[in-house]
Amino acid sequence: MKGDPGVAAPTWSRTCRLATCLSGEDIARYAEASGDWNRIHVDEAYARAGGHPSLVAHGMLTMGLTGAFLAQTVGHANVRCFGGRFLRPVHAGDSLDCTITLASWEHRATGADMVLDLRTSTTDGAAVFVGRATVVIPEGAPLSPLSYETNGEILMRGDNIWMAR
Amino acid sequence: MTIEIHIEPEWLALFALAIGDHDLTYGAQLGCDAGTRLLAPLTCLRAAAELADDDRELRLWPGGEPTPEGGASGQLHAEQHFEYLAPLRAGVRLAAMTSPGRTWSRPGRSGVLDFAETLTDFYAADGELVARSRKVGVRIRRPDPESTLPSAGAADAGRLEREAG
Repeated sequence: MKGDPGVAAPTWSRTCRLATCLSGEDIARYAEASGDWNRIHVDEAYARAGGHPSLVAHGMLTMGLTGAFLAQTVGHANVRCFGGRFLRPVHAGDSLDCTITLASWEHRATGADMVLDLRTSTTDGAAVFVGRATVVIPEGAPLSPLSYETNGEILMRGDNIWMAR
Repeated sequence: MTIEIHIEPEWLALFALAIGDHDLTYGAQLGCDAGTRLLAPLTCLRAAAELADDDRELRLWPGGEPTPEGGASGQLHAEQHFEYLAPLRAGVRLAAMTSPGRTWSRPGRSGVLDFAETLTDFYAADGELVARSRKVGVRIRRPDPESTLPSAGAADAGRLEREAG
């Protein structure tokens, strides 16, 4: 955590429900959009025969849901890097939550570079995707929930948490 | 391997819907000229590149059977990373250049885990590098060669992903 000299490290995190009871239709919709018709995603009998309780969601569906939350938080155009690991399969019927946590930030002349940790989990708390994003937040960006001002404050807009030094 | 992909606004809207990215700009893009709006979903390039790949084994062809998990290679998606170097605009055509990356192995609970990177660079028509993708796949190598058949993939999906994590 760098930030400005003398400025206390801000702590910030935001949690969102990405999906409530992911359905087979949700998975099929992603299969159609992505072209990934792997049987384990669309054939429940096949998935059960393989030891799964139900259809297996695409890993990229989980990452896509996570990325959508990230983009809605910081703005699509501000994301420079986004990546992560798939830890466990997500099944139809699962609900997913994601928490974005500010890992570090560094002040720039026109805003701030921020590193955000992302953790997507099922409702029992098991992580299914963990990742990291690098974002560049322009000073005073008006449309993003996560904003930044050069006095060292990180502002949360709307119904989000407001944190400052 | 190089393939051309077209980031069609209509497909972007379908993809955004599938991942719950409700940014209204996707809808607004539909009636716009190519290149006038940006804000494509963060993870769409992976799907776009794979959709455009006629050789991709997970595509669904008319009359064809869905492929088993991991396709013929039995490889599962362990990690995915994106780097965004320029705004991705709806309607653009990109050249996706894919090449193999690093490979490595490490022992897992059920055998040796073989990891392999697939690197894809996305170039705009003017040659500008727009984005990079790094996909890591993992395949389990058991002591018994017969158990590495793709049909075993479904049963091992969770275990493989956990071990890969």
